[in-house]
Amino acid sequence: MFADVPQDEPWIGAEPGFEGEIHAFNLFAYLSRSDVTWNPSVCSVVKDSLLCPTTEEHTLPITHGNDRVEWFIQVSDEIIWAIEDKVTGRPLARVVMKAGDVAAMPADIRHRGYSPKRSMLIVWENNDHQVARLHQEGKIPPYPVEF
Amino acid sequence: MPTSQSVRTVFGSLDGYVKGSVQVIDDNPKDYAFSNVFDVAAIP
Repeated sequence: MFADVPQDEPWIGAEPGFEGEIHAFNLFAYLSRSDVTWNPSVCSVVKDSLLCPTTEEHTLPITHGNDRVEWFIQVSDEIIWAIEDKVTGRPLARVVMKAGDVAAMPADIRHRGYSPKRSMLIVWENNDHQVARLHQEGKIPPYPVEF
Repeated sequence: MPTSQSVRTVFGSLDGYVKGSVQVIDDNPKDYAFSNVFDVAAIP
């Protein structure tokens, strides 16, 4: 739990006539009250962009296989990810994410997270219905960017 | 056993952050595009 996270809310100074059109909330406070883990607490959907803030603790109960690239933004604390080949289970890497870290999880891996204490994580992914098929057919690379 | 009052939530800031890492076993670390928002924001 996040008993130490402040619960103050933003002040909204709307011009007359716009009072009902401007909204704001404290995402950190909202997440700190979440009673679920390893599941989106709230999701913003803008066309095919899914931005899913979550809270995590202990071990992800499944080993999650990707069918597309996921982006992780570690908002608080720490998660340690064990990365394996999606098909064979061969260990590929260990990704240690601390507050402020950003990492892509490639489309051809499976992974399991361990959060030593309750942490906040944002998962961002592309919900385009063609992406999984394009990865399966090898038409797009499993990683998000060429360096 | 820590109490709820003793557990401290760790956020990062420009003045204080610890970057994690990709510890490769058999993979290309570039595939993970690893970075840290405070690390990037601190670039002059």
